[in-house]
Amino acid sequence: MKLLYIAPVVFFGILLWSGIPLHQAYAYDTQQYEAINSSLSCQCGCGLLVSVCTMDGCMCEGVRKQVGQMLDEGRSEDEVVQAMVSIYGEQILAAPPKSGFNLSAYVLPFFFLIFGGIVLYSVVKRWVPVIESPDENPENAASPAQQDEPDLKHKSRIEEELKELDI
Amino acid sequence: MATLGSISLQVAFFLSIAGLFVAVYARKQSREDLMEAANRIVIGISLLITVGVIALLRELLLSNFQIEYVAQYTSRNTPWNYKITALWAGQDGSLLFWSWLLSIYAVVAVIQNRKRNLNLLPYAIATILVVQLFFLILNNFIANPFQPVPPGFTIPDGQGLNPQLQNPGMMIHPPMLYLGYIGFTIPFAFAMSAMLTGKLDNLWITSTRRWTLFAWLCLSIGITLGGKWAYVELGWGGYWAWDPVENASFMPWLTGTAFLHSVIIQEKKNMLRVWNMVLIMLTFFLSIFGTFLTRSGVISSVHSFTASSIGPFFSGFLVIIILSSIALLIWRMDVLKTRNQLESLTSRESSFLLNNLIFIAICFSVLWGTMFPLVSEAVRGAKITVGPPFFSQVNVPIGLLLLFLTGVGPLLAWRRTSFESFKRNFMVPVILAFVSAPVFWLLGVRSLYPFVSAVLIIFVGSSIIQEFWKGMTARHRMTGENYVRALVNMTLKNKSRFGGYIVHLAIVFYFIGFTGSAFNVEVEKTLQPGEALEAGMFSFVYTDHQQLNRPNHVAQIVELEILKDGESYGKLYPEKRMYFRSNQPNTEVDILQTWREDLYATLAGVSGENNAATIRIFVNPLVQWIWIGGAILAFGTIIAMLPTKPRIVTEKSK
Repeated sequence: MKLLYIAPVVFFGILLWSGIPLHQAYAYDTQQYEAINSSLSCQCGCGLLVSVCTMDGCMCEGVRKQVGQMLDEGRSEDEVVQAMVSIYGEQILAAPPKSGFNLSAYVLPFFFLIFGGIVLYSVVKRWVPVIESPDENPENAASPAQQDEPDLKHKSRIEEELKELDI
Repeated sequence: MATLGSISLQVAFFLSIAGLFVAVYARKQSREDLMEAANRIVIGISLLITVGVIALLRELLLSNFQIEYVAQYTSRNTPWNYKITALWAGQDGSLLFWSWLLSIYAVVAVIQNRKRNLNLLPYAIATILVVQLFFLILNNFIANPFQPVPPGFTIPDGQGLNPQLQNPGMMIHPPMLYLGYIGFTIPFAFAMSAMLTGKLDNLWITSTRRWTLFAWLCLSIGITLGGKWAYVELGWGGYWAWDPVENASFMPWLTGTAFLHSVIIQEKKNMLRVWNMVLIMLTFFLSIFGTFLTRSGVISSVHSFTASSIGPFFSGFLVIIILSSIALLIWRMDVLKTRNQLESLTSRESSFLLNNLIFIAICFSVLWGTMFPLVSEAVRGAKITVGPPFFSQVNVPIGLLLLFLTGVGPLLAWRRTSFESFKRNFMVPVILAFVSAPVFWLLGVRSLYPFVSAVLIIFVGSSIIQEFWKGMTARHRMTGENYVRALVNMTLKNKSRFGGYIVHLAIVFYFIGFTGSAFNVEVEKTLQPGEALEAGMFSFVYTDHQQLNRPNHVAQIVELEILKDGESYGKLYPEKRMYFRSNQPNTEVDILQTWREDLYATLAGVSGENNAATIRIFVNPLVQWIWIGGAILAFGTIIAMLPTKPRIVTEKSK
């Protein structure tokens, strides 16, 4: 087990020694330009973002130029995006705006997860028989020494056999 | 030969109808002789479709352009290996390929079960033949790959294969995906048979466990290779774009993974029988739905080279199988329901149920996001796009929850986790995770999701390593074997368990790669020879240009020298190709791969007298870990699939 405690020191030592300076290495000065292009979707049918689409003869080259020009004119990120929507329509946005009906796109998966979680919890709760657990009531808790040995042996054998089973 | 292929497919079609009736009648009358006849019909169908495939391959290799499909997807100068891959490059060929793989699966299932599973086999065969029949209808009447060109029409040379498909990855990626999609037909067929016969114990699950694992393995490899293909071929520096067709392959993978986990509970505790039926049905539907999305063109996709008008046939087939499966499920609901009981909320069983919920939630969010443009258009009348930013926002937090469970699940005991065992199992991974947090912060990982992901990677990775460590040292102490032998023997003694842990480790590798993408750098610039472009800590100097004429294309190639801290770090040679036959341009990327990052270069074009080159550079950290993760995943799944020796019951154990 000692190795398990030494391992983190060695691991992080190697990590620091290898010098992966993620924060400085990949800082990039045209982040605004990239951020806007990454929020726009190519309309040629490739489904890629404007920032990465390299299809020949595609509209993206023109869109990127327009974004650059608008930024040069001093427009803010929001203004550039709005200008693009007014030129190409709402579908140029790579993700639906979080308003009105579109909000359901964002909300529903989490609603599904939370609702599913509640259902699962209530179902599983019903499956767990109401036995007062010693862990939950300290007064009823028996120390390991108080538990009779045959029972412990029996339990550990069951545990071992369960471990042996294919999972 | 084309005529022979065409006739063999027609005979296979009629034989499928016959086989379907024979299998059902054999089960109804309990006639073993008829059952044997049904088995032979299945083998016959497979042989006939094999003849069809060989015939099409022959026409492709011999460039018989009098066949429309051959003229559409190959040309005289298409290399022979890509002539073979043309079999699944187009719709008609890929549907034939699908039919063929399904027929081979059916034969293997028959050989495997003809002696030991007489109760389930007839209806399982009937179900497989229903699916086979649907594809043979397509092969014969809707998308016949042997369709000749119009009479009196001569084609001197074909159009050639789409340049983007001329990549070694495309030789393996589609077949693996198909093997995955089609593979789920077998457990689905046995599930249907279990419902039809009323034999709803665990037999159908134990009979198809390896089938499910194999289908899941193929789908996993197919998806990973698809990512690799997109990465090296499409030139946009990424491996996953949440394209509808990518999503279509991901959805059955998610439900299939949930199924693989939840059947363990059924095997151990005879619980979740209805749920497992629902999961395998869902996985099969989603496999067909994936093909529907690929073929129908209802949603625009980068895979649109296979879009066509056969969508309605797929949607019709989907509706039929969904309705009939649900009807069966309702019919057998009373028998399927069992008394479910768990001993504690903090148990392995509960964690499996929670992971099922998360898998299904991700699947729902992917499906919802994929279909939302259609929903929005129907409701608001406005076209919108649902692209990567949406899927990342929704799925990353849920995915991180899943990663957390990947670490927690194996640490919980079956039935009940006592506080002592909880403490014992969680202490080291939790300590490591807490220690790692400030280290990652100091390294600059400060955005929320990458930070959480990095810490969870340490937690999950260490929890898996701890499981191996504990088992290995215990075995070493008990048997005196050296550590390596103890590790190997321990893994082989309980292949499913440790194979599963290896797969979990692979998932950690995938997440390392995904986390790295938060630090991607991308720069585009037009350079004159001798000029340099800076990206991250690297300089890319444009040192040379040349034009090469190759058999089927002309290529513009630039040489980029990479400098790091002023010293040479390597060279990249991105290309821009123009294919003669199709007159299509294509970008060939060049990548310098290390475990730390990929230096990825694409050439947008070369222009002017000075050969000014427009170059795009991506510095993508940790991408290699994803491909290594793919290999580990395959290894782990193969370990889990290896046969287990039957348990010998000794006098003592009696």
